[in-house]
Amino acid sequence: MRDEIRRRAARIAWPILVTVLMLVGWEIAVRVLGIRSIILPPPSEVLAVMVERHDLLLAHLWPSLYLTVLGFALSVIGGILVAVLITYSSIVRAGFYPVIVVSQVVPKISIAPLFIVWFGTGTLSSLLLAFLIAFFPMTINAAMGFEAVDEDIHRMARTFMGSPWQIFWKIRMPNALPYIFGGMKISITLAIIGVIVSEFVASQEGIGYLIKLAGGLLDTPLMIAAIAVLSIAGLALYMVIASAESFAVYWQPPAEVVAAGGG
Amino acid sequence: MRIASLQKSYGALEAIREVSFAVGEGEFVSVLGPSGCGKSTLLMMIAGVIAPTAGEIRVKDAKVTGPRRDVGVVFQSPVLLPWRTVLQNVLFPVELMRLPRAQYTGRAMELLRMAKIDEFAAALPRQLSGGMRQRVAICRALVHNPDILLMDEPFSALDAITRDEMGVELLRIWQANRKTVIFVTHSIREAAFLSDRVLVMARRPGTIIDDVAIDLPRPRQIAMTEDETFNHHVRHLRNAIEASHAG
Repeated sequence: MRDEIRRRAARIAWPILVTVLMLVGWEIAVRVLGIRSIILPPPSEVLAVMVERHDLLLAHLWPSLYLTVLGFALSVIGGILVAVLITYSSIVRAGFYPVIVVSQVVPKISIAPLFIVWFGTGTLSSLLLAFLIAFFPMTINAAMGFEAVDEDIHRMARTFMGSPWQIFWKIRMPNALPYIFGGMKISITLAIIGVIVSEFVASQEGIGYLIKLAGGLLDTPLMIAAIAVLSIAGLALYMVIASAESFAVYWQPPAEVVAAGGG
Repeated sequence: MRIASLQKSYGALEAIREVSFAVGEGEFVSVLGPSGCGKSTLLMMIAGVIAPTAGEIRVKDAKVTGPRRDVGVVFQSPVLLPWRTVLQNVLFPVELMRLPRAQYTGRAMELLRMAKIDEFAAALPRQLSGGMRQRVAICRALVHNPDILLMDEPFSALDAITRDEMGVELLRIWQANRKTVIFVTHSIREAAFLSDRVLVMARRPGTIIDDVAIDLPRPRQIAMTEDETFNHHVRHLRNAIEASHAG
């Protein structure tokens, strides 16, 4: 028991220690080498900006976060629905699935300007890009999870008179949960990328806009502060999903949790 | 239960040819044969999951056309659902058949007690040993009180010692419930030890070549496997199988 606690503490403590060491190294390097703040500000200055201008940072963080979560949620729902179609419809599996897979060679970020043309510079473009980019790993993972049911389990359910509806809800769905969470962990980071890129291209608000704006003003400390805020928010979203996963997929030890696919 | 001229082909491949036999109520019958002789296919046809190419299966004079409520199946591997507790796994057929769950919970616990795993009712399958998981699978097959228990090499994945124990346990549970059992196995000793009757199957095409009554007294004990009567039966079964290979 005590060993378990110690191991868990070590798992958290080591990465934190490494991070702190890197920040300290950065701070020292900047000061010793006399690097100008406009090129690379020390972490202490970035932190000061984060504290001083937190109103500005948060004002731009919320719209980005909101669109990320919304785009992600849509990709989860859409991905699962399409995965169900892939599982149950031979037409979709034979016709659409290969097209979905092959369409992944198009770097979705390159579509961002096209979306601006179609949907304007507003939030709709950001939302759709986040959705599009997060959708694929969600679909692939969910489809894999639905398919990965052991043939013996299927047969067992049929000998006990299980209907296709029961087999879906009582077997395929729980079986797919670890895969779905694996997909969600990939999708959430991709949704962030989608929103930020879209804000780079054309937007009047959001963290992506702020990063570009600070770059234009040569305000490097603000730029790095915005990146830091974005990273912290991304990490928080990821951790929310990871803890939901360990709660929902209670029957699997954490080390075995599956993840596959990617954007 | 009566099986008449049963046949199953997959394209040109003839898996089962002209299998006919009858099983009395409460009888323990083993189907013994080498792997690939179609004995699992035969069992799945009795379960109503696979349709025969020709011939028919009748249970209490009703023709089998699909999965039925009066059948319980135990597979080679336990096939438990990892997200369900032991008790929830045992109650799974009750749920699928939409039977009143509350009524069957008591019975499920009673079966777990009989199988000596009631203290693990709230545990997840991964916390159990292989033998314990297969006990759960047996309880699951019996929970809805079927008349017929179909077992497809249920102990073949277990080690020899656990296997002997499970055989004795199974007979104890069978004696208390008196189901008709059809037990598929490739172990001659297991078939002889457990059964009232052993049907010997040959392969390619799968067909029954011998029907041997085992007249050992019940309840059976491991010690009986030392007896001359037991060994006589084992020799007889082995000769039957070898004769089929020669021919």
